[in-house]
Amino acid sequence: MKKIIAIFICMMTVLGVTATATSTNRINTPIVWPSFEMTYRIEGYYRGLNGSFGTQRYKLVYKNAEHWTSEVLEPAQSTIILPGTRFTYIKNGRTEQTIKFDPLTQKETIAISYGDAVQLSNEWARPGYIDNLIGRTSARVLSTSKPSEISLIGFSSIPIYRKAVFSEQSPCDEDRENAYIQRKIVSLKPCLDNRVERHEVIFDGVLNLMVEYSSYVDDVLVEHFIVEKLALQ
Amino acid sequence: MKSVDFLKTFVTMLGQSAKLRGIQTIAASVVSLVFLSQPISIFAATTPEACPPSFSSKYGCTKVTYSSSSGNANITDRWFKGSTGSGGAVKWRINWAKDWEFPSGSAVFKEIWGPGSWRTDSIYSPYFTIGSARTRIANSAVTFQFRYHTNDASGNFYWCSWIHQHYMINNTSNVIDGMPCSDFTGS
Repeated sequence: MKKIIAIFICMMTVLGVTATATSTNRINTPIVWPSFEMTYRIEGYYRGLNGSFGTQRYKLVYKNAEHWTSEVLEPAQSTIILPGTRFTYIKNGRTEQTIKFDPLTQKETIAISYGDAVQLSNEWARPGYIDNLIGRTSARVLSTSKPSEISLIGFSSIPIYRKAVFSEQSPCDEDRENAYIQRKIVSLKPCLDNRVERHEVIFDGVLNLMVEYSSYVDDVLVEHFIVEKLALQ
Repeated sequence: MKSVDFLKTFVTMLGQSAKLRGIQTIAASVVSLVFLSQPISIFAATTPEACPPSFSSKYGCTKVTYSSSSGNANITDRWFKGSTGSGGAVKWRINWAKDWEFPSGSAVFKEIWGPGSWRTDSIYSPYFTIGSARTRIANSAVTFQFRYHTNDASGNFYWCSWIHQHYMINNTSNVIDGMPCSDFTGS
C-alpha cells in the first residue's frame, strides 16, 4: 500500500512540475485579437541619418487580421517616407487590397492581389508571435509590472504583464560586423570570438501582445520598441 | 566544303604563308583597335550594404555591384541574403528586385526580377544574386524587397521587409520603412 501511495505521489509531483513549466512558458494564445488602436515608437540604430540612432513612430488601427491600417507618424530620418503616409489592408476571401495614401498628393493608390495567406502590418502583429518567442529553448518568462510609458484605454482591468528574456550567441561574422559599423554603433567593442544578442520582450499575458521590446548586442542597446498608447475598441 | 574543313585549310594557310601571317597581324591589330574603341571602364564599385533593422536585427541585406563608363551604370550583380528570425518567419525569399532610371529626376521603372525561391536559413544565408547584367543610365537605382512567411494556430501569414534602395549615381544606399508588401506574387 505504501508503495502505491509513493508511486501516486511521484506521479502527481511529475504532473505538477510539468503543469508549472507549461504555465510558465506557454500561454493559451488567443486565436483572434479584439479590435485595437496602438501608437508605438521605435528607437534604434539605422533610424537616424547614415545609420545612426534615431526614432520613428507609427499608429496601427487593427480591426482584425484581415483589415488594418498602418500610418507613419514620424518617419525614421534614414528613410524618405513622409509623415501621414498610410497603408490600409483589406482581405476579402482570396482577394487582397492594399491602399496607399500619399500625404503629398492627397491621393490613394490601390494594389490588388490574391492569395490564401493574410498580410501582417508587422511581423509581431499576430497572436502567435509571443508563443513563438517564448517557445525558444533559451527563453525565460518572468512576471513584470506595467511598462511606465504605456497609456491604456478601454481595458476593464489592468492586464497581466510578462517579460520574456532570451539570448543568442553567434561567432564573429564579417558581414554582420560591417552592418554594425554602418549603423554606427560606436560603443560596441570589436568582435573577438562571439557576439551575444539579448532580447527582452514585455507582453500582455492575456492578449499575447507585445508592448515593449529591447534588443542588446553585447549589452549595448541597439533597438527599443515601446507602445505609447493602446486602446481597445 | 564543310565549314570545319574550310577552317582547317584556312589555319594551315595562315601557318604556311608569310603573306598571310602579315594579314594575321593586321587582323589582330584591327581586333585590338575595336576593343580599345569601346568605352573604358572608369571604376567598378559596390553600393554600401543595406541591412535595415528588425526585431532580430538579421532579416536581410542587399547590395549592387556595377561599373561606370561613358555616362552609364553597368550593373553586374544584384546581391541579397536573408534569414528567418526570432519568433518570426518560417521561410523567406527575395520578393523582387527592380531597376529604375531617373532620366529627368523622376523614377522610370525599367525591369523587375523575382520572386526568388523560398529559403529557410536561420541566420544570414550566403549572398545570392538575382537578375541579369544590364546597362542603365548613370542616374539609376536598384530596389529590393524581401518577403517572409509563417503560420501558426492563429493563421497563415506573410509580411515584407523595408524596401532597400541602391543608387549608382552617387554610390549610396537607403531604406524605406513602413511599407507593406507590394507587387504581390502569390503567398
